[in-house]
Formats: sequence, C-alpha cells, structure tokens
Amino acid sequence: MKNIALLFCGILFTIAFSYTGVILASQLQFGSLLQTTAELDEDGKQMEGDPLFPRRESGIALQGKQVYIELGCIYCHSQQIRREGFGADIDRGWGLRATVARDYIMQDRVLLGTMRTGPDLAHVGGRFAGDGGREWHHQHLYNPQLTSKGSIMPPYPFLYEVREIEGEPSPEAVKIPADSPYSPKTGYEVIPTRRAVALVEYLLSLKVDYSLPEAPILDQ
Amino acid sequence: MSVENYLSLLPLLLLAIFFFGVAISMFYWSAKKGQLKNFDQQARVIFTDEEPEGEISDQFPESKAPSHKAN
Amino acid sequence: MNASATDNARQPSIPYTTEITSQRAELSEIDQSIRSASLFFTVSAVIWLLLGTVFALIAAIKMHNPEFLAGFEAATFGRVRSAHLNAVALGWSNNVIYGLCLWIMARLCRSPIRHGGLLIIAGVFWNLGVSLGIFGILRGDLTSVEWLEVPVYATPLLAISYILIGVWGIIAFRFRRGDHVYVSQWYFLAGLFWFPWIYVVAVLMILWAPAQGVVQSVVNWWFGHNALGLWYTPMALGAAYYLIPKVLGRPIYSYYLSVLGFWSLALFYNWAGIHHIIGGPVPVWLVSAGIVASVMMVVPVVVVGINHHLSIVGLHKEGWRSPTIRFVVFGAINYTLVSLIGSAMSLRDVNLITHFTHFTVGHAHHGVYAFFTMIMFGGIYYMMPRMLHREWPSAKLIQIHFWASGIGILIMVIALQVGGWYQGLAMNNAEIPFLEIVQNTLPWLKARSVSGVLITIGHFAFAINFFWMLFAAGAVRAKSGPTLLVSTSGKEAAG
Repeated sequence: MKNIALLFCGILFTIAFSYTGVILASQLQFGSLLQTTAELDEDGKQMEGDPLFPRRESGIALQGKQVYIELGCIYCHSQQIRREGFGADIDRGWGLRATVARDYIMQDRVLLGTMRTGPDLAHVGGRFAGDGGREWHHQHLYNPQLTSKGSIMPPYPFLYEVREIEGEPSPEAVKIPADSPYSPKTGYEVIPTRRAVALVEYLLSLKVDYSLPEAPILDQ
Repeated sequence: MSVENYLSLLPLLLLAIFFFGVAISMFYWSAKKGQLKNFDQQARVIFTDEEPEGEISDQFPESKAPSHKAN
Repeated sequence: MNASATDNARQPSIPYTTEITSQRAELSEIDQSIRSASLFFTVSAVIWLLLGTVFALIAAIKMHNPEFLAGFEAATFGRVRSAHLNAVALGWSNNVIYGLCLWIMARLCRSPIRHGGLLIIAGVFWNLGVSLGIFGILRGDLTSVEWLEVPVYATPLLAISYILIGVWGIIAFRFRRGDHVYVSQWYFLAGLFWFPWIYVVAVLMILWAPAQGVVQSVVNWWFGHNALGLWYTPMALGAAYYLIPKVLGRPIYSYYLSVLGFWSLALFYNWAGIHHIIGGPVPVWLVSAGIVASVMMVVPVVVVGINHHLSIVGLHKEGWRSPTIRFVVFGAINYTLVSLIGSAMSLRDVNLITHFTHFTVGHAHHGVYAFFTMIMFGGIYYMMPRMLHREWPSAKLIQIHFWASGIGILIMVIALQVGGWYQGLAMNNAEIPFLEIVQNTLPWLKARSVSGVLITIGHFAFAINFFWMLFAAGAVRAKSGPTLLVSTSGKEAAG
C-alpha cells in the first residue's frame, strides 16, 4: 500500500465507526434519562405525588464522595449489582435488585468499579444503617481489623485524630474495646475528622432500596 | 418497561450502512488501483544498501561468533 | 565471558573509517537528526520505569500487608496504585513510544527529520504533565476514573505535548522519501491518530463536561481498553514488524497477512472495551457488541502471530544471540497468548468468574508488560548502539534483565490468574464468607510481590547498563560492535 490518503481514510473510518457505535449510540440511547416514580400508571405516565427516584445526593454525602474519590476506594470496591443468576451479588446480600442505568443518573462521577478485592458497596447503606452502621464504619475505617479480622483493607489512621481526653470523653469518639490491640493509650480517644464523618455519611447514603419501573424490587 | 429507546438509534443505523458502503467502495478502489499488489517487494523496503537483506544485525556484545548470513 | 567483553571494549580502535561512514551515510544522518529527541524521551522513559516499579512494589506489598506505610495518606493503596499505573503508562510507555517508534518512523520515512526541536519541546511538556499528574495523584487530586487518574489540571499539558508530536508526525510523513508505506508505519500513523481522539473524547465526556450516568463508564472503558488496543498494541506491533525482519535480515513471512492483520485489528479492537462492564447496568446489545468484537480479535492475533513466528523459523539460534530478538520474540509470543486469553475472558461464562478478580489484574500486566514492555526493551537494545555509536557495556546485565523480567512477569501472571480464578469461583458461591475468600488470595498476592522483586532487579540491571552506556563514553566504544549494524565479520560472510 502506498496511498497515504487511503490509509488515512481507513484509520479515520475505523475509529469513527466505533465512536459512533459505542459512544454516540450510548449517549443517544441512555444519555438523558430522567428521575421517575417507582411505578407507572397504565399509560406509562409517572404516578402523581409519588417520590422520584433515584434520590439526589445530600451535601455531606457529596463531600464524603470526594473523600472516597481522593482515597481511591474504587480500586477495590465496585458499586454495581448484577442480576440474580449472574454472579452471587444478590445472594451475598449486596443488594435487593440489579442496578440499572437510571440508578446512576444523579451522579456527577460514576464509580462503577471493576474490582472486588473488597465487597460491592452499591447498597452498603442498606446493609449498615443508622447509628450502628455509623459506629461500624468508623471502627472499620480506623482499623479494619477491629470489625473484620483478617481483612486486607488498609487502615486510615490519618482520617482520625488521637487526642488526650480533656474532661469528659467526647461523644463522637470511635468506640474501640479497651482490650483491643488497636485501642489508643489510656487517657486518649480517637476522634473522626470532618473527612471521616463525611465519608461515613456517604457510605450510609449508598442505598438501592427503591424500585424503578424497569427494575422493581421483588418479594419484599 | 424497557427504558432503552431503540428508535433513537435509527439515524446511527443509517450512518452505519453508509459507512459500510464507503468502506466497500474504498476497498474496491484500492484493489483496482493495485494497492494490494506486489507484496513481496513491499516487504523488502526496510532493507537498503547500507543494511542489506540477509545479514544478522544484532548480537550480545561479548559474542565472538561472526554474524551469520541468513537464509 | 566478562573478560572477553572487556577485552573487546578496551581494544583501541578507530570506530568509523571513511569507508564505513559512507556506507552508513543515509541511516546515520537520519539517526543523527532524531538523536537528541529520541534520547531525551528514552532517558525519561527509563527514569519513569524505575519510579513506576517502586510504586508497584509498595502497592503489591500493601495488598498482603495492609499496615505497611498505613500512616501516610499519600501512600494509601488507591493512590500508590494509581501513581504506579500512570507512571508506567504515561511516563514509561508513552515516552518509550516517542523515543523508539518515532526513530523507527524516521528511518522508514528515509529522510532526516526536520524540526527535531519541536519534539524536545513536546517532550518537556509531556514530562512536566506526567510529573504534575503523579504529584497530584499522590496529593489526593486523583479522579478515580480508571486509566484517567491524572487530575484535570495536568491534562492540558499532556494535550499540548501530544498535538506537537502529532504535528511533527505529519511533517515527517510529508517529507518522506520512497513511495511505499511499510506496515510499521501504518501502525504508527494509526496509533498517533487514534490516541489523541480517544483521549480527548474521554477527558471531555468524563472530566470536563461529564456525560450522564453510566455513559461515563462506557466512555471510560472505550478509552481504557483502547489505550491498550489502539495505542500500545499498534506501537509495539509496528516496532516488532520492523525489528524482527531487520535484525534477522529476512523480510516478514507474509506481507499479505500483515495487511489483513492491520485492518482487522483496526476494525475490531476499538469495539472490544465494553467487555469490562459485562453484567453491568448498560444495555445488553452494547455488551454483546463488545463480546463479538473481542472474539473477532482472534483474527488479527492469529494472523500477526503466524507472521511474526514464521519470520523467525529457521533462525532461532541467531535470534537467541540477539538481545533484541530475545525480548521481541518474548513479547510476540505473549501477544498471542494474552490476546487469546483476553478473547476467552470476554465470553459471558468465563467473565462471570474472572470479572472483579485479580485475574484481570494479571491479564493487564500480561498485556502491558509481557507483550508491550518487552518489545520496547528489545527496541531500546537495538536503537541505543546505533544512536550513540557505542556498544552496550555489559552482556551480563542484559542477561540478568532478560531472565529477571521474563521469569518475574510469568510468575506474576500465573499467580494472579490462578489465584484470581479461585477467587472468582468462590465469589460466585454465596456460601463462602467473603473474608475467607480474601484470606485465600493471600498466598497468590505474596507470590506477586516476589515476582515484583524479580522484575525490579531486572529493571535496575537494565537502568545500570543504560546509564553506563550513556555516560561512560570512552570505555565502551566498539570497533565492529555486534549489536551495531556494521559488522566487518558480517561483511566477510556476505562477501
């Protein structure tokens, strides 16, 4: 082959082909989905007055997401649940239903992930909820061995401040059993920094506990 | 139930057919113009008088063996 | 062996007589014209390689020793791992591509290059961009988008640099001599055109003006896989298409197959990336298209495999004596292997097991290291003596490099893929507690660290040899350098 124009046309054509087929097609087909109600009426319209899903992320959760991004949590934790029968995602209790494209439309940065050195986190807020969940996450982030002996997740001591107890122990202090090898010296307590608080709020907010018309939660 | 709207992909399908046509005609044109001929000779363009065909041009530095003539 | 090496090197010699000089005139002139730029890129590449290796070792150890360096935020796993990826991908791989492939391209254009200064400027921008990017990653500005971790503020530097290199490429082509465009040039030209396209689209649609929802993930993997398929792969294949026939002095086995191989790769590879989100929240047709393309990749792989391997048949002994051919053939064999494994991994039933596990990590290293990087090493062993008119100072170090890197990467791939396979099987069985699966991956992760130590040894051997050659000018000047092109004994044989 000696015709450089021909060669160049071919090179352009092949990339344009895949760009059109993969990127443009995706953009056209599911690049502008809207929030919707859990169920639709028989005309396919949204139920009036019902809440819209997926929910918007709260302010503190968004700050926590920034911490999640900064620490590179995505490299060990995915945020996608595959359908029943394809992998054991649902059997492991990682979620109530498979996630679909619409579940991610409110997110500025989508953190699907491709690695499960640790468990999937798409629905972690449903698995560890409320004050119990908050406490668990702080212990786990301060040192994973506290809650999950044998885990290979790194501890994040830099998200916590170990300081001397002045007067009464702080109510925010992470509850660490005194006999644990990871507990601070006597007279000291472990206080979560703002970033730790935000990160935990983000983790608590990760919930796929709602139905969508195309992805209902079955047998509740 | 399906969120995916396949109608929106129609223009792309037409575009793909058009692409396909262009590709076929490009191939036809290049075959006619002889772009796909004379392959044996083309493979030899990397050799020149200074770096002739049939000569091994790389060995470990300490190797005493003379560089062999290939073929 | 050592003694003979030094004897050879110490021989007082007049390296380039007029006769030889005139014989080498054209190529020398070309080599000379691109020398500063190529050396700049190659030196940067080697430095990034060492840095990237150190990051890799830290990350590997942290995988089974989570307490290791746990107190330093900058050294947390997510960041060190990303620093490793970007140091070796943007720092080492791109620099070595600019250094080696542009040199090959200049030679194939058969005309001394113009505006070499443009390349140096581009090189400075590129390395500034990568340094800023790695610094940003360690500092916590990483984007957490796989293969695009470099913070947004470093991307313009990389883009400027890339445009300069693209412009230079067009100039080089504009002034080429001889009317045939050799197969290596198709690959290089295609790579130079494809990479900025996918990079700009990905940065735009994910970082600058994010697309909605999982469209980002589709763009992410279209880019991530294509960085490998449309950038590193064509560059390494192009280099192999030049180096194998050149070193052996025998044209490629079948030029017809190389045409077929090139166009089938161009057509199929850029659809394959979607297999990274099999089972994910994207339409099934898209995933299926990705799987079909991945399976179709068998065509270019087998074609290129036949072409490369049959080009060596009958010259194995000569090939084994050449450092270049050793590395390049190691890379070519692994290209065949890694691509066939990759096609298999895209099948839904296989992917169900390998997805989300260390198997994929092993696969990535198999491709980028055992295939791409090994071919680039081979290319550097060929290029440097011609560029510097000096011999490699130590054959021993080349041997150490080859064996340490070769065995190291094989251990790594086997450990991660066997371990990853068991991990995947266990993850699909909800009866097995997650922590037990984690514990069971530990021996494999430790084996990976061992392999990392071996590879590090290889890289240091390479770097020592490289800088020794670069700086110890007088000691290693060769008379009829065996890795040099001109070989008096070869002339005799030919005569």
